[in-house]
Amino acid sequence: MVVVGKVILEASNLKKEIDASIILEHVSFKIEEHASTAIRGSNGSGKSTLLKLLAGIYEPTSGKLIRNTNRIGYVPEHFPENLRFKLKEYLVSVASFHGISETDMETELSEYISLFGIEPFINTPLKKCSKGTKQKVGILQAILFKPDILLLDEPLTGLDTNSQQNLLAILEKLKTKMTIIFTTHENLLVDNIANQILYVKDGRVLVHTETKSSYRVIKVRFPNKAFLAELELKEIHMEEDLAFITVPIDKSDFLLKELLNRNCSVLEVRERI
Amino acid sequence: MHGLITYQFKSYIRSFKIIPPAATFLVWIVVLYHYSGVEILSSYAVSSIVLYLVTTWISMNLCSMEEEAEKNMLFVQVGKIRYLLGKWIISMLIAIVLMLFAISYPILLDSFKEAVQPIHLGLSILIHLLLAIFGILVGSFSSITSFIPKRYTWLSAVLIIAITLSYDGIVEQLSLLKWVFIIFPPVVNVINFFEPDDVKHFGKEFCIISSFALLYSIIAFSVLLKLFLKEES
Repeated sequence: MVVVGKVILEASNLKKEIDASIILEHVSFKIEEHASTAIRGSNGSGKSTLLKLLAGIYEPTSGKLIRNTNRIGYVPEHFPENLRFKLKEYLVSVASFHGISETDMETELSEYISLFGIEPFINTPLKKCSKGTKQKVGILQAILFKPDILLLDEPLTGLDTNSQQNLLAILEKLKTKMTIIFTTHENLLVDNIANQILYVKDGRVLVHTETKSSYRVIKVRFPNKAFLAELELKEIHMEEDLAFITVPIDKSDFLLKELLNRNCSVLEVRERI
Repeated sequence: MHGLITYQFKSYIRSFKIIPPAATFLVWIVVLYHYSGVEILSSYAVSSIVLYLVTTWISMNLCSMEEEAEKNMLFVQVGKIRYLLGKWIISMLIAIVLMLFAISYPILLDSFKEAVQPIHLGLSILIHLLLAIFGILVGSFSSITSFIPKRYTWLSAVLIIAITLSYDGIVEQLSLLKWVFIIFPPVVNVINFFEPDDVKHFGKEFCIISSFALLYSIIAFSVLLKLFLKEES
């Protein structure tokens, strides 16, 4: 892999054992500042362990991990169920860990709360908030102090499609400001956010690819579902009257023409990995 | 650190887990001073032993309060060392509040057979603080190390407390254990000075024992911190 920007994370021959079983070994890679990296792999492959190593929750059993920053935000897969705080109170408490007073961060916190669309819940106990709201709070607690690296463990898990889209929009905004690394099973997240992928298999990082796209994702509003079936599309994700269609680049123009001919509104065309 | 302590304190109080140990302590003190005309130092020795038990209980509660995800978030937010220091500080602050109650309650009720002198107050504060520290050490050791399986943490804490309180009797029967038991907090060594209700006993030897107890605590906290970091790596 060719690294052109400032390296913010560098792993050299990392190994991690937990309870005498090897979870990860021979893991080496570099991640540039402001890169968005997806960590992919099957269940139990060691994705979350790798993320926790990067976060500093775990220490490597051997090997070297250089973090060129101390400002790291971490979002767990499942936001804690038993936090005994109201939403805003919790965020103010987390900000205070970094020496930021409530007055100092009032404006910024209000902006974030508005951006995340959680104003109605600021005085709701976290235990009573929905999973989507908790997931947003999970991200907020991690970005409040403006980290250089944001680590997310399966951020879309258990969210409905609306919440997934909201979260996606938030992450797209954040990826211009910080390095984002996330584990995921969802193509949706990789397509929209990642510009490189770490594949983890059997405890090893097998491939580290730069993402030069050979596919396009077309977002359309369609008048009826039936004709989409006629097009024999292999990768399609539908939400109400919206469809996200992934096609090889060489076939995208043809498909666009077909969609327009059938009264679809093309809302977005972008490259994917 | 202030923000973290406030967070952990609120979280602990709102869990209501403080009620059983605090209630036990308060009831015990009330019962202890049910009769008036009691001796000053030995009564304070008893209340400090109760504080030792209760602080062990509280620190065990505090050390096992968060679920995995919250703990991981806190590790990233504040670091592992500050996370553990926060718990120790809260345990100590709660112990100080309980100590103030234990010391002032009999004075307010005029329970002692003689007037309390400043030396009594100084010694009572010292013994309560020392035993609270020992309680934090025992509670933390039982909760954060992997030597003891999770289901035996309470049992191990009770065992350590029993050994430290019956140290004299055990060592008298099996003198070789004296060297093994050096790893446990020197509770009895300090408490023994408070049995006779006379401040004359508190001379050079007491200073040495107290200094040893403090040194023991500093070393034990350092070892526990290292064990915790190893455990959470």
